[in-house]
Amino acid sequence: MEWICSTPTIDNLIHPDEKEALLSIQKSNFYTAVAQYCGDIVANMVSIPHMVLTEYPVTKESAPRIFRCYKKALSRLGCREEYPLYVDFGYELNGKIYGSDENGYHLVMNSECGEKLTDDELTAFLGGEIGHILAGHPQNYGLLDHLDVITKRIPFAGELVKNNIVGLFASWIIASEYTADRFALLAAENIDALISLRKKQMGFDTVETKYILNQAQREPPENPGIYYVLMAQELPILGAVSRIQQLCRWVNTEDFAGRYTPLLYKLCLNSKELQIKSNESLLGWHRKAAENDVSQMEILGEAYLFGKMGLPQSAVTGESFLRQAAFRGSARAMFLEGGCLEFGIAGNCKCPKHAQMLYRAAASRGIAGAGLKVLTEGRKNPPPQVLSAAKELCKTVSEQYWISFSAKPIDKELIFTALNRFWAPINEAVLALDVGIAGDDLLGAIVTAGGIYGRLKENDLPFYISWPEYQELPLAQMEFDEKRCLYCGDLPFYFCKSNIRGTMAELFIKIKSKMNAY
Amino acid sequence: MDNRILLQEYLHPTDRALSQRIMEFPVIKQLLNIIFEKKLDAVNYYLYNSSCIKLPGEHPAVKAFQDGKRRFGINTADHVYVVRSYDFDVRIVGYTEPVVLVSSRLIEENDSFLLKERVATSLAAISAGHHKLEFLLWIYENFSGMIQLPVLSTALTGLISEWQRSRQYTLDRAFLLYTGNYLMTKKNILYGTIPYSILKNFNFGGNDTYFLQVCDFYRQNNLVDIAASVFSVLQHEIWIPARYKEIQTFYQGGGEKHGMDMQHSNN
Repeated sequence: MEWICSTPTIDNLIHPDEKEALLSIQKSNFYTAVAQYCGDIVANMVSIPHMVLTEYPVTKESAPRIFRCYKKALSRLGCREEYPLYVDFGYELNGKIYGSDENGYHLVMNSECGEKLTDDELTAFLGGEIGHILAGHPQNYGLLDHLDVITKRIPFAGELVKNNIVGLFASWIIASEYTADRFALLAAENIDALISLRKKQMGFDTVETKYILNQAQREPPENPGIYYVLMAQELPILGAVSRIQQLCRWVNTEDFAGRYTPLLYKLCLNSKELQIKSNESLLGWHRKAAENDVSQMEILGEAYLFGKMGLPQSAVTGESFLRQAAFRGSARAMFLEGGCLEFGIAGNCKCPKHAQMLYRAAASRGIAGAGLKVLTEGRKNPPPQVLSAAKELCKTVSEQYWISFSAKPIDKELIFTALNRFWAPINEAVLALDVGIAGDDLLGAIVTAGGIYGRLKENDLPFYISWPEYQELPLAQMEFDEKRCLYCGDLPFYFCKSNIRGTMAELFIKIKSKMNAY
Repeated sequence: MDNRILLQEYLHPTDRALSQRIMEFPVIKQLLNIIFEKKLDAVNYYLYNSSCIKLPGEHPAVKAFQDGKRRFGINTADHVYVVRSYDFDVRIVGYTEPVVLVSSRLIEENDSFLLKERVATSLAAISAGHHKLEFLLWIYENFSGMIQLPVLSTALTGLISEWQRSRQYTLDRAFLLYTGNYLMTKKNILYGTIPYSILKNFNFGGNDTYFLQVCDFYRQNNLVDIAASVFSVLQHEIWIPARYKEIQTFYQGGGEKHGMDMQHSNN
């Protein structure tokens, strides 16, 4: 299940050490003097896009796996801009950012990353690089890279100024990595993957995490200045051990638990090596939801949506839980998810058409409010008789067609009577159906007498089957016949060729609506 | 049984003489002052300790490290760290608090015997003080632009290159004394310089005439001295046949004395 974290606020993610280091840098006379003297020189110099000429661009076609991880990292960090990503040949597991605010940024990662990292590790790695950009680090790194050129313009004291400025950044350099790690964690939503990435960067990925967490650290030397910076350049990765320790400390803070509650529980449930502090009862609910317990999904979805039960309000997370519960047949979740789509809550675009579909499905399962929505079609202040008719309708439907969510054998007579006029043009009886919304798209499956139909997103992605029995099914086996389709409104549902029919039918949520009743 | 290996048993005379001469140069004393004034040793230790994983105590390399400490009589180094690298080497960085760095590739890909021997023998480098001079030279190379230091004289540069070659003789001798295995010592010379897949099948037995043949070829063509001179001027890396010959001489001269395996001494 995708437990979406709300879009991070950058200021919260900046490590306190970085804030402190920046303040100290800004107070320096050297830095101020260079900033005044050099003006826009830095910005212009760091914009040189020479790498573009020699590196290999990552696109959906050229490197689909890297591209997919990159898009995931961008999306989870709420980054609307897609910076060009390139691959360079290199054995180290690292990358670099080029560019400036004025001229845009691009990322270059070493080819080794694509070969040695898993999807989650790669997402974490790219998330960290994106985090550097979002936190505004490239301007400082650009300054350090090009300081020679700048300080040469300062008469007599150029070398002295350069050394002092580089030295000023000693504390900031490691602190900026602490900050980037926070972004990396939000991008990967998997702390084990991020730690595993760091272990690989250190060249020893078989060591246990607790061993690293217990590796004693000394206090950093006071004002090491330029010596620290130059020595740090000798290392394949700077401060990886202390970075892992800092990250684990952050995850266990109350601040993290308050700001990133859903992520906290996701980390708790998924981490195999770390013990993360959390509320035990809430963790139990999240565990059940992760195990596809629909009622828990519904409860958590509503709790996050409205900020109940001691959970913080997070429309994005709430909607995510509700979407999953609705997909699995929860009537109340369908109704609430319909509301999210109708009003464009949780980052969704307003989508009245899909909202109405969900309202219909919810109404058919006995949710009076949803019935009202169907009847009024979004009109405000419906007349009282419509309201009472809706209640009556839902009551009737509920009594007649209430079937609990389970894998009981389908009552064929009941299903046949539930032929749905909405599905047109069809010449086959709809035995069962389930619909769900993913982003702006309608997903779902229809069981007819002739077979199973699935909805393809953009005609290239296989239908997402949510039941655990089928989650591991290789995509290659999910074949669709595009010549044979059913329409739901104007959306085609293609015939599934794979031999999942039969057992699938037993798992599908049973339709309980007679659409002609509307 | 006290099987400690004393420094004077393996310290090569050239290594000793050159390091003493280098340390007498004023610029080296200046560098020493910088290290202590700026606490660079502490910075160095902090950086590596916060950036590299300490090998766990049960790791074979750590056991070898402890054994090496005991046999070479070292008290200054405490831990072995892993560093991601595609080389096969074991490095020592730092001055008063040296840090032993083992390449990840050495750990991952090669046979554990050479790994352990290499780690243990690295302690001989600490005993001989190689890391101190190396650290001083590293400081000079990286900080000479920012600190007011005189340009190294040609004489000193030459001495440094020569020392960097001769210290390898010392390490080869220490390796031989530690392992007591002449074949393994020869294998160690080639370790990392030719692909491991070839090395592991290389015949170092009694009929190993590879280097002798190479040396004869150059000698017959009067090239061996020329090649040695060119290498001496151009780089600090030692010529492998020279190491091979040197360890052979050392072995034949003192192998029995140190109780080493003599079964292949007729090479």
